[in-house]
Order: sequence, then structure tokens, then C-alpha cells
Amino acid sequence: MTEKKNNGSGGKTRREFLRDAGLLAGGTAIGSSILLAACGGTETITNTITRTQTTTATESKFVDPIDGMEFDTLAALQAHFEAVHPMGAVEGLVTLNVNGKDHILQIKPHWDLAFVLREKLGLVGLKLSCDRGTCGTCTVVVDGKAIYSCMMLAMDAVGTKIETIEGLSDGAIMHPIQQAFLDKNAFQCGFCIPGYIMAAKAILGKTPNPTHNEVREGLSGHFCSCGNSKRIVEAVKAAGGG
Amino acid sequence: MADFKVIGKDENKDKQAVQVVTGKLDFSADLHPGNKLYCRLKDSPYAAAKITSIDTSAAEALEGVAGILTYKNAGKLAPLGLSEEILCAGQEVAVVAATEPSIAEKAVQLINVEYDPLPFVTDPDEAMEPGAPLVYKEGESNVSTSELLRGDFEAGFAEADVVFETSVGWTNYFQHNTMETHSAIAWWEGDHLYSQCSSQNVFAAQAAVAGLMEIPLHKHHCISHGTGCGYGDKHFFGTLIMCPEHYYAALLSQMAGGKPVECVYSRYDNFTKSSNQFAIKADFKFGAKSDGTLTAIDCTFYADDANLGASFSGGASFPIRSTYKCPNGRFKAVGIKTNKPRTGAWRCVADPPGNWLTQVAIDQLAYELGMDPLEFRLKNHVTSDMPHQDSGLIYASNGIYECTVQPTDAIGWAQKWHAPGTRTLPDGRMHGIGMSASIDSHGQMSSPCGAIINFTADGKAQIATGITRAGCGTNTAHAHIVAEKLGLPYDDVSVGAQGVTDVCSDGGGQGGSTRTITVGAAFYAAAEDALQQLFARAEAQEGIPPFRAEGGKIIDSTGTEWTFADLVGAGGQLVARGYTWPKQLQREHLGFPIGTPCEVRGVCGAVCEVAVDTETGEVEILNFINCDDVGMSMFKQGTLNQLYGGLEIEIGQGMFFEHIVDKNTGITLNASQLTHRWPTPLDHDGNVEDVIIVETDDACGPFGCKGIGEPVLNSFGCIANAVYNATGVWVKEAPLTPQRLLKALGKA
Repeated sequence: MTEKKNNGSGGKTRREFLRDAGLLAGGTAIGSSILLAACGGTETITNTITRTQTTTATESKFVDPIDGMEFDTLAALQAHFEAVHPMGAVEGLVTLNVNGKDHILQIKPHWDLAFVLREKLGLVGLKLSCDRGTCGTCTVVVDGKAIYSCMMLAMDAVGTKIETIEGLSDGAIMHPIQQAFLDKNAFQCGFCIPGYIMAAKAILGKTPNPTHNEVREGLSGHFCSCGNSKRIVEAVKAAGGG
Repeated sequence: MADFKVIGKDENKDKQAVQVVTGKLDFSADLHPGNKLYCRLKDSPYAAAKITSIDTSAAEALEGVAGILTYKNAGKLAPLGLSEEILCAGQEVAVVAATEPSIAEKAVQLINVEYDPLPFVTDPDEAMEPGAPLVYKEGESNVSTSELLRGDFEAGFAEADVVFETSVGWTNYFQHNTMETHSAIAWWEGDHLYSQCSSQNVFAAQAAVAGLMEIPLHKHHCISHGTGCGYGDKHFFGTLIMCPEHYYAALLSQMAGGKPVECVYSRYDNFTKSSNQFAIKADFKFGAKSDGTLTAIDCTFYADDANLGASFSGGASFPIRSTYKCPNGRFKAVGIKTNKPRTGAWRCVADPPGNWLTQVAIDQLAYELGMDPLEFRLKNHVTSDMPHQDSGLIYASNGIYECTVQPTDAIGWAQKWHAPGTRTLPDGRMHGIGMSASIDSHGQMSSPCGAIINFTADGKAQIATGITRAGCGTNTAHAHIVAEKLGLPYDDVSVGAQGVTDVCSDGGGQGGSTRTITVGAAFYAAAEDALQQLFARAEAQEGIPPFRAEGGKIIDSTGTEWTFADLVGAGGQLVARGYTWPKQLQREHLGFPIGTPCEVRGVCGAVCEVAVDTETGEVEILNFINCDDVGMSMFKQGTLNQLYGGLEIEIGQGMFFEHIVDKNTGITLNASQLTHRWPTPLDHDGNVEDVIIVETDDACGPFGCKGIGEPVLNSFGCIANAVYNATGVWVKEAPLTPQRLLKALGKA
């Protein structure tokens, strides 16, 4: 793997960053897992559960992810944040652009992108099935490419544009790829489907009208244990207009 | 056959389709993101051992560790699960919950376990030998046997013109490989336990975990919304051995003051701690007249049950007992214990490997008799009006003839079948064609279940179902049954609460292709209950009986109409309930009256054409047709998905899957979907896959339906048969890999 520069680690290579962060880890208090959506966001999002079903609830409290201090207003939090933790001065404080929104997070150097997206941003549409770059269920699109998010460090995603299944639709209007999966009934248990749909997005971004075999090739990093690949391939072809 | 308004319509979608394609269907690991404890499991490196000491002190001292389980504080499932005794490599010896997965992983490394390693055996042939290491040390042997007799098999052989013997197997030992690994999350509110699990039987999970935690059932609020597939490994057979992760999560949460704890298996854990399909081999002896008529069958199925206490070997003979007319038979089963990671029923009990062996042996017999395999089958298959030869019960439906003839007709068997090894394709490869057909053990109505329909104030219906969404389309099939019976448009019935023990009625275990028919019967009865309540309300509003339901309205004998909304009322106070009926004919069938006990079984057939490169051993599927007798298809797109899915899975089982255990250590060598060779879309070419739905209008199932949870369990046998037809060489072990074929061809 080639080392690359990235903005989030202050211009260090990933190896340097990991080394430095590792030295610091013992003495650094890691903040609350609650996310501060500081840039443009106005809410702190937590996922809660009712006794019968999962819902996403919205609470109006503003928590500093680093020191855990709570504020009544976003403005108060922002003022505190800028005063106490200027950007670049806090280890692990990065901005991730997910589905078009910037999120400021304090992350640990060994956290992979799947963990951060699922556990810190609550984007649980991507699934973990192998957690080692085999199965494709955790696929997200990073700068237009399909990526196994379990195999990418969150630090390496800094400065990129990350797309997840949650970014395709708010639930009422389907993205054309989702609509094609609906039209073709291309799913069974559904666990692998978000990964397939995000891979399809990357395929169609590169090849808008793929052939049967181009789709099969593009999806060859994915498994569907229900055995639904015939209809999945048909759905992706249909989404491409073919 | 009935003219349905809702049932079987191509355009009807899965009721949870939008949740699936938007990623919003919740699986248990999706709960409480960022605000829970994460588990990791420590494994035994030995295939057989006794733990002599466990030191968890260093792990406990690690910041972020919230709890550790070992056999000392969580050994209730011993000898499986956490146990002082180790029965296979990879068996868990400790479970750690911590604030971060990486902390739990580090803690696992800090736990020091000392073992007294013991002799072990992983090869089932060696495990049968006298003096082999015993898997269960208190036993006398690793072997258990059972036998079923029919007629006089010795007399049957005496009257035979031809006696043919063959041995086939072993079939493949492989991992169930559900995309969602075993997972559960649990938390406590006071002395109430809340949990969500990946389960094929949520009510049994509720009971099992409540029992282990020693709390009354009503204080365990258990949910299973999305289950990322279950092939039997996520079932509960009255005990927790299939899903101990649920118990571990509940116990660790209790130790952590009630904080949510998620216990999600890694892929390696799934290989070594959840179910694998057992391998089977068989010895067959057939007696037949010179015209091909069977006179006697003597067979023995040997199953490598690994460390599972029960044996599934007896189930392997079901297809051969049920599919072929034969007055005399002896059907023996031998269960063998080994120190492999545990096994369990995969897509039916033992029918897939039993079928593979049977289909290959039947083809061998047909060729021995100089017969076309299709001709042999048509001559010897039971007919749909025959009772089962062992139970004596008639079939409520039996499409064995259709499942034999329709796929072979569709592929052009009469034109394409040829003597083995005689047709070369223009590119130099050999052409082959093979078939399979069988009656399998799954599909029975089972376990009494309940069903609830809640009506909303606008007169629409929500079904509440006690089963999870595992991907077979079952809940949507039930919505079809309810809409059809109530006379409501399909869109007016939704799937509401599902797999929630607090508000649903027990839906039983999702195994054996039983839920469409069994819970479906309960929903049919619930819809009848709803109609009776609606009719009573219409009568109270001076309607004159008899009433009927049509087009979303209740109509009385004078033609006066009420909408459902009129009768449900502003408060939406109408709840209907129903229960499963017994496994009996619901209408006259084959001259037998309503109420006659009956058989409801999965019946299926398949055919495939292959091109074989005899230099490389590579087999390409040119054409594959799966065919299943589905009773009546309720949810057409779901039925099609099941048949396509069954086809791709059977190709995987026939040509790819293999869980390889090192004989010298008992350690799993390929705990990955990649090296275990689960096929990807590049391995499957949808253009050569086709399916045929046979509808036989089952006389027991609601609206004629029966289950298709385990479609076409014999079709991987037709691949081996096709390869023989191509090459004239039998590959008697599964999976049929290029290496095995080259070996059979004498080239490797």
C-alpha cells in the first residue's frame, strides 16, 4: 500500500500519524461518542430505541465531543469549541464529508471508516459481514469509487467525499438504482443490498450503460448468500438503462 | 383453481422492499450505535482439551473492559459454548465486553488459558474405528445407529434380476454462511431484559434466554426484525446451543449495570461456533427387475455430526424413501461424532446431502440398467395419488411428476441426452446433461402458531406476525393471504409489528419450509375472525345476513354496503386473531374427506447442461432449470426469488463450498467467504438460470399454499450427473471442483 498525504493528519503520512497518535493515546482523554455536527449542522443526533421498534430521535443538546461539556445553544458550543480546541490543535480531530455534509469528529487512528460511519455517525445502513475486505456489505462510495469501508482507516477518508446508502434517498423518493432494485425485486434478506447498491452507484458513475458482464465484473467483490445475484445484476443493468 | 384477486400477482412487491433498498431495515447490530459495549470471543486452539486454568485478571484490569465470561460464570450451555471441556478448535473459552471493539480484542489476548490437550479425531471414517478418541468422553463410541424397515428387503433382492451396489460420498462439510453473522444486543431496564437478535425463532429465543437468566418470560422483551438469512444455524431447538451469543449479551449487560451489549460473531466465529452443514456418505444396494422396476433398496447413510449431541443422519434417507416406489427396503443411518466445529441442519434436515448421494446413485443404477435416467425415474417415481410408503398418509399435494417432466421438457432432454462421453462441443469441450427430482422432508405444518390482524380507523389492516423477516418473503405471503380473504386491495394490508414478542403471537420456528403454510393458516383463520366481527357489526347496524366481503366492502343480502372504515369505527378498535389448524385436509382430496391427516412435503426437480474441459477440469453451466411444486404461489416475486436463490445456492453447494479443517490440529483453515468459495456474481451467470413454478393447489394449506423456504434441494446432484454424462466419469465427492474431476479422470 502506498503512503499518501492527507489533510486530517496535519500533512503527516498515515504511518507517522499512527505512530504519533499511538504515543499520545495513553494520555489523551477521548471524548464522548456523541457527534458534534458543527459545520452547518444544528443538532446532535443520537439513535434511540423504543421497546418495539427502532426510531431515530432528535435531541436539542449540544455536546463538545472532546471534553463532554454541554451547552444549550449551538452558538455557545461553537464559541467554546473555537476557544478551547482550535482546529489542528487537537489530536484526532478531523472533518469527514459524508453525503454532502461536513462532520467534525474526534477519531482514533485505528478506527476504520465502517466503524466511524456506523458507530459515530449512526449510519448503520452499511453492514459488516466479514470485517476483512471480502464480502462487500460495507461498501460505500469514496470519491466515486466503491470502497470496502472496513478496510479503510477513517483518517484516510479525510478530504474525500463519502457517500453511503443514507445519502441516496430520504425514504420517500427512491434513487434510480434503488428503484431498479425495487422494480426487479432484487433482494431477499436484504443484508447485502446496501453494499450492492453503493457498488452499483460506483459502476454506473464510471460506466453509465454497463453490459451484463461489466455488471458482473463490477459486483464480483460481493456475496449474496440468499443467491439473488441474477436479479441483482438485472437491477443494476436496468438502472443503467440496459 | 381459484381466481385470485391478490394472490400470485406479478406486480405485488415485498411489503418491506423500501426498508431494504434504503438500508433502513434494522438488524440487531444496528441498534444503539456508539452507545454500547462490544464483545469479542476468545477461542480454543485445541480440538479436544480440558481447561486447567483461566486467568482473566490482566484483561479485567484493562481500561474499558466491562465484563468477562468464562465457563466459571457462564457455563450453563456446557459441553457446548463456554465449557471446561473443549470439543472443537475455535470453541469459545471467554467472551469479553468492552467500550470499543479494539479494547475487547486486546483483552482477549490478555486472558491466559491453560489446557490439558486430549486426543481428538476430525475424520469421520477414523472416528468410527474401534479405539478412536471419544468426542464425548463419557460415551463408549462415537457412533450411533438407527434403522427403518419396509417390507422384506431380502425377499426383494431374491426376486431382482439385477443387484447393483455403489458407495458415494463424502459430501461437503461447509459453513452456513449467513451474510449477517450471529448477532444479538441486550440491555436491562430494572429487572426487565430487552433484546434484539438475529433469529429464526424469536419466541424460543425469548424463552431460552429468560430461562438462562432466570427471569419470568414476561420480563424478557425480545425482538427480531431483520435476520440476515438463516439456514438452520439461527434456529432454536428448545435449547440455546445454536445462538449462545444472545445469552452472552444478556449476561454481560447485566454485569455492566444494564448498558446495551452487542455480541456479534466475526466471520471466523461463525465458522467455528455456529452451524456447518454435515458431510454424509452412503452405501447403496439396489434390486431391480430387468425392465428397471425396483424390488429392494438397502442403504446406509453415514453423517459426520461433529460435536452436535443429536444426529441428523436419519433424515438423509427421506428422499430415497419417499421418491421411489419400492415395496422392500432397509434404511440405516449412522451418526458419527468428530471434533470438528459444530454442525446443524442446513436447508431442511439432511435432505440436501442425502439427495445428492441418492440422485448420483440413482443415475448410476439407471446407466447400469442401460436406461435413460429420466426414463428410469418416470418408471420408479411414486405417483401423486399414492400415500407415503412409510407413514401411510396421503399427500395434500404432490407434484413429483410435474417436477420431473416440466424441467426436462423445457431443456429438451429428449433431444439432448446422449450416452456418456459421446458429445463433443465445437470448442472441444464435452457436453453433458443431468437431472434430479425428489420428495423432501420439509414442508410439514408444525407447532401451533397464532396470528393477529389490527385494523386501523380508516379500515385498513396491519398484520402482526411473530416471525422475523429472514428474506423468504413469508411475511409478505401472509399479507397476500389476509388481503385475499378479506377482499381488500393488496395495498390496504401492511406488515406491522414483526418478530416482537411484546405484541405478536408466537409464530414458531422458521425452519423446514413451514411458516408460509403454518402461520399462513393462522392468518387465514384471523381473517375469518375479522370477517365474523365485521359481519356482526353490520348486523348490529340492521344489515341482513348473509354477508359477504368484496372489493373492500361488507355487503348484506339486500345489497346494502359498508366500508371497512364504517364498521371498524373511529377508534380503530378491531383486532382479529387466528390459530394454526392441524395438519389435515381442508377440502376433499383424492376421495378423502376434510379432516384426513396428510403429508405436506417439498417436491422439486432440476436439470442442467454443462460443458466440461477435460484438460483443466473446469465445468461451465450452460443451462440450469430449477422447478418446485409450491402448492400455490402466494407472493409470486418472493417465490421466484426463492427458486432463483435455491438454484444459485445449489450451484455453490455442488461446485464451490468447503469448510476445510486441518486433520492434524482440527483447526479451520479457510474461515473466509473468499477461501470457503462462496460464489459471487462473477461465478453465477443469471442468463443461464431459469426456474419453473409448479402449482398443485395443496389441500391442506390456506389458498393451496405450501412452504418454499428450502427450494429444490436436489439440484446440486444434477450437476454431478451432468458431468458424468459429459465425461463418463463419476465424481463421487462434493463439491465437484476441477481438482476432483481431474483426479477422477486420472489426470491429477
